Amino acid sequence: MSVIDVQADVQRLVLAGSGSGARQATHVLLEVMDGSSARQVLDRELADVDDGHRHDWSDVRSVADRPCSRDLPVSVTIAFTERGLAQLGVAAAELATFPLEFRQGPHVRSAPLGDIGPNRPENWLDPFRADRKLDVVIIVWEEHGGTYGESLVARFGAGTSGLRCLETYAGALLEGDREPFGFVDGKSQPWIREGRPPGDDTPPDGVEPEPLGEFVLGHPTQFGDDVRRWRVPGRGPEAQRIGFNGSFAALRVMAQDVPAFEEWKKRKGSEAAEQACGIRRDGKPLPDGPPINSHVGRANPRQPLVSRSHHRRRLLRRGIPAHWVGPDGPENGLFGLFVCASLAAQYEGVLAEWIHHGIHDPSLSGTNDPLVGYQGPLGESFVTTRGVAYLFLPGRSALQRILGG
Amino acid sequence: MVIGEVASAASAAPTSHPAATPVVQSPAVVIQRVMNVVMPLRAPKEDEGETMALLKARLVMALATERDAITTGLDNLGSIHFARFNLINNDLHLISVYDGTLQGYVQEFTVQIGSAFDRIMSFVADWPPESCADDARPVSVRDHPAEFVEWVMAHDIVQIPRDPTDVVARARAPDAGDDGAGRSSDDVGRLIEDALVKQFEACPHANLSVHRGYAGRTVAQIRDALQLGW
Repeated sequence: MSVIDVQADVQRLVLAGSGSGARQATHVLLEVMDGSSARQVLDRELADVDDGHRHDWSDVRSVADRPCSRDLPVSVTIAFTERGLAQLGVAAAELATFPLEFRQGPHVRSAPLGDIGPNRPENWLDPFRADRKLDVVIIVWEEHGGTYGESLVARFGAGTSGLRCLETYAGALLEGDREPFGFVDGKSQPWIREGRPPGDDTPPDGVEPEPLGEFVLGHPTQFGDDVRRWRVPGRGPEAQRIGFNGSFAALRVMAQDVPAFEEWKKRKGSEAAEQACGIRRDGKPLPDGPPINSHVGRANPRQPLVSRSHHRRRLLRRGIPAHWVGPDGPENGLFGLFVCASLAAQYEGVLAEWIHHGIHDPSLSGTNDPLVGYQGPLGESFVTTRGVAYLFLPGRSALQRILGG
Repeated sequence: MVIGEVASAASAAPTSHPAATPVVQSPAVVIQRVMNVVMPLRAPKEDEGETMALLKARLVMALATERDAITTGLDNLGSIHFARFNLINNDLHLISVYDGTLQGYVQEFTVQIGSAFDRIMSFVADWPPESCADDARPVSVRDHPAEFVEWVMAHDIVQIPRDPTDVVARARAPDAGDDGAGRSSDDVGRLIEDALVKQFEACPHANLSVHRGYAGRTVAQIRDALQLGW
């Protein structure tokens, strides 16, 4: 497949982000009650959006420059859990070819990932609980004040859709693109050539491009041009499988205790806060780079690792700040969406080995991330996991096949 | 796999970094994990005059050829406390203690010693798995880390906690929706026995206990303290 084909087939969020005009997101969490009607409804709804919006790569790049109708979103992301694929009619034999961690789901795999104590799955928001039936996640990315997300939810709620809306969660970029603790977010992302517009595909100085296959299935990875590394789920020739041009993502809902963090910052000073996060408040790098025991330093260690073979575990961060009602009232935080080719090797590897246990460095071993880790009943923790879903984002031709039955 | 895994009681290791605080949960979830993979040898090719003894001899020779690659590769991983192969009956055992997640560990070693492992796997039954049937190229563990991890997990024998009553204690935890009320210790004993009988009917092997001489310490810490190539 040529580069252009890839760009047309991979969901826009993966390579290009939500689109530069997008300032808000509606996360629609759905249960599939009836596979056949759900397929029809999803197909129809998404076909609407396809018109000039989702499908045309040139639109993706110029969305900020043209008048955008409030009636249509900037982009729409669609993702499925393992249960969701089954409910929509993907055969068991095909599902069996998906990676184990995706089939098991986040509840089984939670303990090494820092989802312990107050973070444990028993405490997650209702739609993310193990006994709930989260099948489909649709994220509608819109301009500020857009109403498409709301109208979509109303249409799904009509009763004949074969879908049941478990919950919707609203997200919106904060002023200055800051995350709730006040750090400018999103500056550091893996650089993928296929995600760049034509004519802007030279990497900045000192930036090593990440191969497409680190994030999109069926393409070369960091291990070499002919090494696929991650099996493309499905049957038959690679390019025709359900997994081709698809990606995996972990949706990780993280409540941020802003008052506690502010209070801690008042005591320790704002420099300590920047040291804990690993970047300056304005999102620029610290003069000496991220400290090894900072959030940024642990999430992507630059220092020599205990392993002499440092395999990169990069993640595309496609999340958005959001607010919701938690067990003790309203909460702020992030709907983090971590996109990768292998949840086990990338998302789980980063979380379990680097962020939450620090096995890569003798001074960090057995310790937790100062910003996002759980520090125990006596320590000061600022971030609480409120839900995790393991999702598959099919390429568009695979999506058509799924929805076509 | 682990039945009701009991994490090590040891507290997290002290650290030299002032800002780093210990994880609260027992680190055995990620630090000093145990792997006991029992791999049945394939049937000897009798029509080519291969006996089981000859198959084993050839396996030993193959391991000897790959020894340097394996040693260097495992050393480079930097997360392995120790690893060894045993031949017991007609099974090849891979016993190891490592830091990290099983998938992280196995995926790394498929890169480091993938070709050596391909050679070893040619002596083993039921590899590659059926899910690789559609693959055009020969199945190498290097290209199939996810499948290999699943295969390893399926052959990693059950780890029975040192105190099996813990399995039942877990089943009785409030989160499991059972407060344990009305159960006598006899009931509990019977539950354990039933669970173990089922287990041994399904698979004759089990890992019964692990003692950790320096619990909670990573390979990184040991190497650093002993100045072994950190």
